Amino acid sequence: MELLTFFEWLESSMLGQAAKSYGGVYAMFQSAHLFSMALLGGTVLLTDLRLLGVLFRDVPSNVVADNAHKWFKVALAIILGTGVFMVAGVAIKCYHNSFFWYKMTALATGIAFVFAVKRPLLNQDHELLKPWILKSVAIASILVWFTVAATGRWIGFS
Amino acid sequence: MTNDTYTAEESGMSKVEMIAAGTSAAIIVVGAIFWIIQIRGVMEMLELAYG
Repeated sequence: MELLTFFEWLESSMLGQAAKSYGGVYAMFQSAHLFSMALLGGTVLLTDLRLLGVLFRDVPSNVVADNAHKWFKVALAIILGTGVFMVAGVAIKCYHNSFFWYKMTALATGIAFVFAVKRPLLNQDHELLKPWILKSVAIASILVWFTVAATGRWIGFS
Repeated sequence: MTNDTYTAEESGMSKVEMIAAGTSAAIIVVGAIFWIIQIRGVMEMLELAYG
């Protein structure tokens, strides 16, 4: 199945029709999406600015990272669920929008980075890790999630 | 002892630290290039529009 065929099917599906037809429902999903993005951004900034030594320097970074990660997962699950609904309503438009694909690439990179690289690293005792590596991970994490948010907003303006 | 372990021990970094350092560097470089290209594109468009 070609990718465009999938997007055409998605837009004509019940989900796509619901997203197109019920503005109020779409607005609710979009609000949940934005609230979850705020939560996800908050957990990312909390963890990464702590790793950079900017915030909560009196709290161990292990504690901050572990607690923030629980809420990161909740936020990510809501973002993915509401995001599929939102895309379904304008699937063909999204398919032809380059910033949609930039966002998807950044999102996939961000998710892979968090679960395959950042968490395995932060699960270790931070005192035993090299500070410059923790700082590099924090900068990369902020950059990738900033790119997800910025390209996401850019979809609406392109 | 594998080559990975040998390299990691020699550099004083664990394998997970090496992966984190390499991946972070790649993301920072690619991200910087992406945003430089985007910003330059906007600047060129502004120049075309306003001189």
